[in-house]
Amino acid sequence: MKKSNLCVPSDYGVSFNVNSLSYALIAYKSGWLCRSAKPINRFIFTLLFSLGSSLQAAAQSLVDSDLNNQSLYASGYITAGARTTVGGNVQSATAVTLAANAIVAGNVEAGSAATLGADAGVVGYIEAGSTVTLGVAAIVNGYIQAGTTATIGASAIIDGSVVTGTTATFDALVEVSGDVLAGTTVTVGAGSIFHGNVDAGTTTTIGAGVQIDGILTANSSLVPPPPLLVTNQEVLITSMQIALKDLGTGTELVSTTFGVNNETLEAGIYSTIDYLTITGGKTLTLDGKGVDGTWIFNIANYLSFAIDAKVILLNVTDNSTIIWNVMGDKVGSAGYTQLGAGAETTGFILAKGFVQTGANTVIEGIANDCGGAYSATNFIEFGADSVVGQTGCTNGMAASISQTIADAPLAATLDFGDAPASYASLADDNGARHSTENNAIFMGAGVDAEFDSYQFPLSDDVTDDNDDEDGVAFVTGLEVSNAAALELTASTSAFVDAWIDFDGNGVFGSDEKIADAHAVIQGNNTIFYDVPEWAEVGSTWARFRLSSIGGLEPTGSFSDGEVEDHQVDITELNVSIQYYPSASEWATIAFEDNWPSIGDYDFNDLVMNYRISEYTLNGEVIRIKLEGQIAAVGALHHNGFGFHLPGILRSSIDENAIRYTINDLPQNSSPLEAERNQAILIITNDVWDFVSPGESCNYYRTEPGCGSDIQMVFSMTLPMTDAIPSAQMPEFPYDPFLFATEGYDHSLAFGLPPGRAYEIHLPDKAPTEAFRTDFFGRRDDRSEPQNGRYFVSANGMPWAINVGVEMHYSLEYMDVIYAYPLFSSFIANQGLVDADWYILENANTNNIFAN
Amino acid sequence: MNKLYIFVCLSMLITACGGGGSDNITAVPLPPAGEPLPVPIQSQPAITEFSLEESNPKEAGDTIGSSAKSSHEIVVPDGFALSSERSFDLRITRSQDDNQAAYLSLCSDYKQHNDGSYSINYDSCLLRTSLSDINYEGVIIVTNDTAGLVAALWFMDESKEPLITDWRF
Repeated sequence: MKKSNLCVPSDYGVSFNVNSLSYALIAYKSGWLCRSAKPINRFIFTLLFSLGSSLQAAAQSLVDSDLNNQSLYASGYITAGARTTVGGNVQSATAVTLAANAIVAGNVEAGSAATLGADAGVVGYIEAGSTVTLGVAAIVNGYIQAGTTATIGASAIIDGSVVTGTTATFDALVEVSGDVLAGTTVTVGAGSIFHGNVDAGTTTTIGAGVQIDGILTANSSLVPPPPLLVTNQEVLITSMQIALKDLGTGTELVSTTFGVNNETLEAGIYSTIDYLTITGGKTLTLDGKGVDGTWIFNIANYLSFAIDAKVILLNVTDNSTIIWNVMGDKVGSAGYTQLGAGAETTGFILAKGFVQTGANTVIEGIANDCGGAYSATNFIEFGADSVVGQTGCTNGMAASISQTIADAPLAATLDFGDAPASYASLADDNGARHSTENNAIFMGAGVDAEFDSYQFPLSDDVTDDNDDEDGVAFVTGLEVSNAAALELTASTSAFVDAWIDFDGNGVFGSDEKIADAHAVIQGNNTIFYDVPEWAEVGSTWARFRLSSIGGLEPTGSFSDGEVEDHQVDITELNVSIQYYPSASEWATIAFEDNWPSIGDYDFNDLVMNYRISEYTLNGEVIRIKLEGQIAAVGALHHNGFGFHLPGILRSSIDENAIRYTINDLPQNSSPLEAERNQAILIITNDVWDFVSPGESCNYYRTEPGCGSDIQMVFSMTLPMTDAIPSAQMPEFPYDPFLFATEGYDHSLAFGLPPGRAYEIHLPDKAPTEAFRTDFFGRRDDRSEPQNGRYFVSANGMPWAINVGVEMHYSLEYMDVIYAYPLFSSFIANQGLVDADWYILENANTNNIFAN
Repeated sequence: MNKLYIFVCLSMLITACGGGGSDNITAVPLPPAGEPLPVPIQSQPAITEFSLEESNPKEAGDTIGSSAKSSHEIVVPDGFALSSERSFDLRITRSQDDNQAAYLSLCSDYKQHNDGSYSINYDSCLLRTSLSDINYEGVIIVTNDTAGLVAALWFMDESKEPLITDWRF
């Protein structure tokens, strides 16, 4: 057992030379040279004592242990390939070997031998149970303590002391800043320099030209300390792995399908019953949503990141935690972890078996944390040029894992629906709810439990890490007076009761029950039903209750099963719906608002997310729906935002039937711009009316540390007075545009505030009738209206870009080309190459805004 | 939004051809080499056919490298408006024995399993429509990030399995 305070009986006193780096780990005590106990986080102690389960006990053990302070630990050996860098401390119960030019920014502790290749370096100290061997020109900034021999290569530099159980052998031109104490012999090559004392238990052999600033003593009476003993941490790591597994299985990731394509996971507990693999070149994005979160992956077999597979962090806060718990408890599993060449991941890897990587791999922690890897029973090998934590990082394993366990909430045991209050969802309203204790009856992949209903639009499926409304798919639309079908996936044979609020009155009536104790089998079940002729067109809700007996009401509790609430859209018979970019995703339009002058090309002066739904009946558009939100305002200018429907007359829209909500509140004023011939929808005359920058921030969601929730969402349904033939409708995405707010200055190019006469459109989109065409050609604008060229510079660059996803736009002042390096190639090749330049996987995540 | 994945079993009468920006999909067997082609079927084919073709595909030339160090150095080729979408012509020609009410969804988020079955997120659809006619033709605007599309044709006849096919871009 290794003592937490290791002291060397010493007469070295004040003459013992330790450098500042190792000083933090060495303290003088009454003439003894001591390595202090590892610092312990008092906060964690306090926190853990206040709990007291077996989980917390396991965490306590971790805090107390040596493992706390390591970013790499293996019960077997640890090797780092050439040029690999390790930011934190390294500890092996056996040997540690660093290849040439490898660097450890922390300390190295080896139960047996520690070996450094040529030009390798250790910023902290080296302690080894047996030998320490340094290659040519290796550098150690701290001290060296070897249980038996130390063999120092030529031109090596040691900026601390050297203490060995037996011999200390220095090749030529070595420089040692501290004292040397060898149990038996000291042998020094020619030209070496020693700034302290040199003590040998028996003999000294000094080469030519050696400089010793202190006292050279043979037959010294000083006694070297006993050799280092590294505690084998298999039991502790295993107990931590079990404690993490006991936090729950969470969402199961299917081994055969997960990671085949790019994946995104919000914080939560995830588990596999077999392996977890991210396919080569694919990404796993961990989306933190800007709040502290924890990802725990309980993996029954092995963990594998194939070549160039990458974990990407999105909006993950500094206090978040990622743990890859490679249990290896599947029968026959070794519980290993492998990273192919170029693979990158983040967090802590706790592995039963070995951890092995190819070249150029990266394991990092969140923020300044080292992250790291811990093998309970086997070795750790890193390929060449890998990175394990950045230099100067904090070894944060114990704090992170302890906090994770401490934060685990008491378990909820009831599943609630999340339809609005009128449908009775809350416990106080006798809402539909099912016990999840010992429950094996559910829809989709699983069921989660809540303490009460989280109602739309703040459903827990949106706000927490687990969407369990996943068991019902509306495989056909819901059309008035038509048959419809849905697919329900059941975990086992059971009975389903289901309702759809066809008349939209906010309650589930008895005549709205579409399934009554309907028997389903394990797996997929197609259920046909009819939408009555009295159903109301528009958005409404459906409720599904799966249970062991069926015959349930839309409210009340039951002892097993699950309730799922789904928002659905009822349309007229035979209506087609086309969506841009899809029924649930956002597109993004991003503006530079310095027009007609060229700006900084960060394209975040105004960023709007939106989607369009177009309803067609018999080849004519009868209705459109515009939805969106203000994603960012990175400018002080006051701008409005609107949609122009090119070629459509204002009179084509049934103004009195428009439904417009902002933040779910109905708006009284019409969004259809008055006194125009064209159909122009004004979302807002000034985006600053609805959003505000964070404290100490200049802008809304564009500067580092200036994240906030979305502050403005809108939804607008626009019925047509007379249906418009599809061929006459403008193509998606219509014509979204920015305009200047009345009364505010915008550019010196105009003198007076230009107001509504100022617009910015996507390139080659003509302005509306409100625009003043003599603005064209001013400053950097090179529009050629006669040739259909609008809103472009001499280089053809636009002041607005439009993409098909919820774009992760540039940080303030960051040229979009630095956030999305493929942008220029996309343009140079006219979209035939890098057409998806704007997706997150193609972003330089350091240069995009993270909420 | 909810992720509505559903596992759909399908006897694979139709197979998807991979690769390329668009595919013509048909299960009608080609005649052996040397034999004359059959007279084109003017009415309904033997098997429901799905076709998705890019409306105005551009010819890919040699890739041009860009040396621009900032957006100020970018020069946009004449006539290029940085569009992030392409349009596709979707055509569905239903089989001779298929004149039942059906519902079509064209969606972008899906997985095909090893056994040929599909999981489809019906919240990711670009098109949802009843098929009141034998055939369907429409233009679909697809954003450049879309990796593939899946078409699912469900029938109101409870005994009939849905027809599903997909295109990877």
